[in-house]
Amino acid sequence: MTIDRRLFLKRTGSGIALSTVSLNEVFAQKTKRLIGAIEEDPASINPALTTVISSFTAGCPVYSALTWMDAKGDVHPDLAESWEVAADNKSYTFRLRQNVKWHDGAPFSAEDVKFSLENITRKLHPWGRNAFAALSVVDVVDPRTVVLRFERPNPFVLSASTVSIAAILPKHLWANQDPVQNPHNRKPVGTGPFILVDNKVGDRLVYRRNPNFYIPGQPAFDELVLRVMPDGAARVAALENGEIDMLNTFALPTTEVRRVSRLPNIKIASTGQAAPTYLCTFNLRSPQLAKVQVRHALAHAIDRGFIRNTVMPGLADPVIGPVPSVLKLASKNVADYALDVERAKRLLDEAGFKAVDGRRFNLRLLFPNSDTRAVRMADIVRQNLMTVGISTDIVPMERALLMQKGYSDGEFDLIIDSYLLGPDPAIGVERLYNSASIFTPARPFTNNSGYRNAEVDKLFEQEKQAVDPEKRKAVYELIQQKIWADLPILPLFSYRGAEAYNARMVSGVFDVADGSKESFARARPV
Amino acid sequence: MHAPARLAMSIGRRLLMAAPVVMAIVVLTFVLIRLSPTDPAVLLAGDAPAPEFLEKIRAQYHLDESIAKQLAIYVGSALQGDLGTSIYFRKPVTELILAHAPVTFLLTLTSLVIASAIGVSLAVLAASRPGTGTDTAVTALSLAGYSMPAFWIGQLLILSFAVWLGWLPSNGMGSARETFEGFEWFVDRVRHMVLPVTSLVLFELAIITRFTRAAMVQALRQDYVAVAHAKGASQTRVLWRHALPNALVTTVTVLGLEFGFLLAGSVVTEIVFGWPGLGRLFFDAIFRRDFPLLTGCFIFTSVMVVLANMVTDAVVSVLDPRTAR
Repeated sequence: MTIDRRLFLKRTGSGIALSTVSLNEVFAQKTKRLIGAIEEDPASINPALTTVISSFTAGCPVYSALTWMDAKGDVHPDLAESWEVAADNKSYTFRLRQNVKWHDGAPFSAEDVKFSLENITRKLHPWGRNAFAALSVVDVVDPRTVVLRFERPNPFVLSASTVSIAAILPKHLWANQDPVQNPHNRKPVGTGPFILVDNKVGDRLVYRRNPNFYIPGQPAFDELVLRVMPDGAARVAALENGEIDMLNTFALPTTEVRRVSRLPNIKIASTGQAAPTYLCTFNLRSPQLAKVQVRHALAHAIDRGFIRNTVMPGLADPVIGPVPSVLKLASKNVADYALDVERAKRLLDEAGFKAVDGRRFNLRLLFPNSDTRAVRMADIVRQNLMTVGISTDIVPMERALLMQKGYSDGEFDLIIDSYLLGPDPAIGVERLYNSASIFTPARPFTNNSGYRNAEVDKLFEQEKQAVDPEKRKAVYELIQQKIWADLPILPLFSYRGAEAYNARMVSGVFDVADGSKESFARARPV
Repeated sequence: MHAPARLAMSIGRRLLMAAPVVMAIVVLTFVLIRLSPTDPAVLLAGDAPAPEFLEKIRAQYHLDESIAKQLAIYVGSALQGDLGTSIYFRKPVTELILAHAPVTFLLTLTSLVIASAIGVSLAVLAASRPGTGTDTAVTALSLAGYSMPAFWIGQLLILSFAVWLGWLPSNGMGSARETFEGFEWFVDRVRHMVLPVTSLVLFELAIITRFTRAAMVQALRQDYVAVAHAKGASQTRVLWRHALPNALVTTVTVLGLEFGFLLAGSVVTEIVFGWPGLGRLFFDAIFRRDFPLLTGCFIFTSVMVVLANMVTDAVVSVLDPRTAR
């Protein structure tokens, strides 16, 4: 082949040294290719079985679900074309799209929906087991119609039927097999906008446009590439440099959001429906934290305003009550525990923990060592508690160890960690407070504080019976007031997820409830 | 005994000595990693995993058996060449290692070759003018290279050459923007190698220069150098033909050690530059408690280090026949 001198210079970099346009953008593509980043190699490319973020990021372009939720929290049709909700909230009839095909060419049908919801979602998916616990049966009326029948009213089915909880798997590849060992966990066959064609461990995942995708004109890109980039600073550099086009919430380091937003071609999208929130979980089995005055004292002593402004300035929102305000059911009638050191000291005295030489007792504070925000919060909390006479052992733990020692073995007094409390409190919040979510052995991200309040448990039951949304809101109001008074968990702040994309390369990305669950079906080249 | 026979004997002896070392590494790794109170199954499942899911994973990888039994199962199949299946990737460990090792070798060998060439030249330059400005400059430079942490150099290189100047890509082995073929593919690959190789070279260069310079200074004080000068040999000839081959014994030994170090030590560079090599596979295996992959990586690297030392010894015995006796 002949080598054009100019081309050669361009591609070796010397010809473009003085240009303001990045070299990587000059390589204008013939195939329309959208390039993103993923923080780690995904263990499984399947959002239907786990809630590990890399599985969502890699799996969501491949799979679809009955509905999808946008950044404002509104639910839209996906595999379902339309739906009807029975007056008692106990049955949901979904009308499915016509002419949907699996990536292997097999036709999609109502049987796939029945199989996935009954055998995968409600049995194995960490959130689905909760959200679809009351699902008694999925009736297949005809190949295009399914009826989901619940034992009790389930007001949040539409928001739970998205790909983050209820991705639909092909029955013909998953039936009569052990789902955990199914090879299609790594070789996904879905109905989504993109088909996974290559997966080079440590390097990249390559997807090709699904020519049979059920929405005409989508996706607009021919290829989607997710590069495996473990280093946060390197991901941002690659975005600046034009090597990649976008970073989702989890791939974009929050400390970089402000700087990245000022870059000429980079736009920031903001999503918050998943309600990411940092919580400080109190272990109610600890002799000190078993007393409600002590928990109140901690809330008065910990300077959450300072935490918000130092840890995630501009992105953090206060959380007053167990449900963050971004969610529609959040109460507006609960009062905050204002910063009040004297009051905190009085409460500790009342609880019987008088200061001896200025010291009262010691607490073990656990947090994931890889989470730089948690590391800073732990330091602030330690200093705050010192002012009221509580000493703190700071115990940073690697994620794996925290899961075991902290969550499963319960060897902690306080844990600071991040949670997704959305999209509906019944999915994200209830698991932390309902005593039915106390397991032996304990499971991570459930009711790990060991909180038991029979009244609250009963209200959670009532809430699900509530057919009328107003009634549901009223019951949830009570739930929030009771939990907030007992305070088994102190929310530190919630934050808006921020996604960044190069506006010269792509538009229409990240209009989803959670940026890590983007399918890129609606993304368009610029 | 003839030289080849001696070499074969020496290699055979070393192989015999290496076997218990590798075995000890297997047992130690296997037991130590399992003493950590964590469960890889929990990491795979995410939030609030279903007990059925955890049990299936544990049963599949014998995690529910005693450590002794797990070890017996492992050694049994390892002896047959089967290093097991990665818990995380659900792929054979051997396949994963063999796919990633060449990628790392490409990076490490390239940087070792470049670092040796530059390092040895700088060392000769410095040693020939001991105490001068040149000598001080080379020593200072190599000290700086050695003292700067790899991740910092990496970030700096990315910022300068990828972000500010926009000359070079910052990440990965090849462009994701375009699919190249033939010569263009080669150029693309080289462009992606420049920054990670530079960051490794800066570090290696320091070690090689310092050791070779010291050895050269030593060699230049020997009697045979005085003899060579007396015979009327030029300075260049004395430096490169008389002193250097003797000093190189040290360099080669250092290179042998560095190779082993680079296999594990390129982890940071691989992470910063998104280089899909063995270092990252290793690193991720630790955090994912991917026992089979981790043990496999340990075995592979220890075998590689043993091999590198054997090659080093062979080269040294050629350079300096006295050592082969």
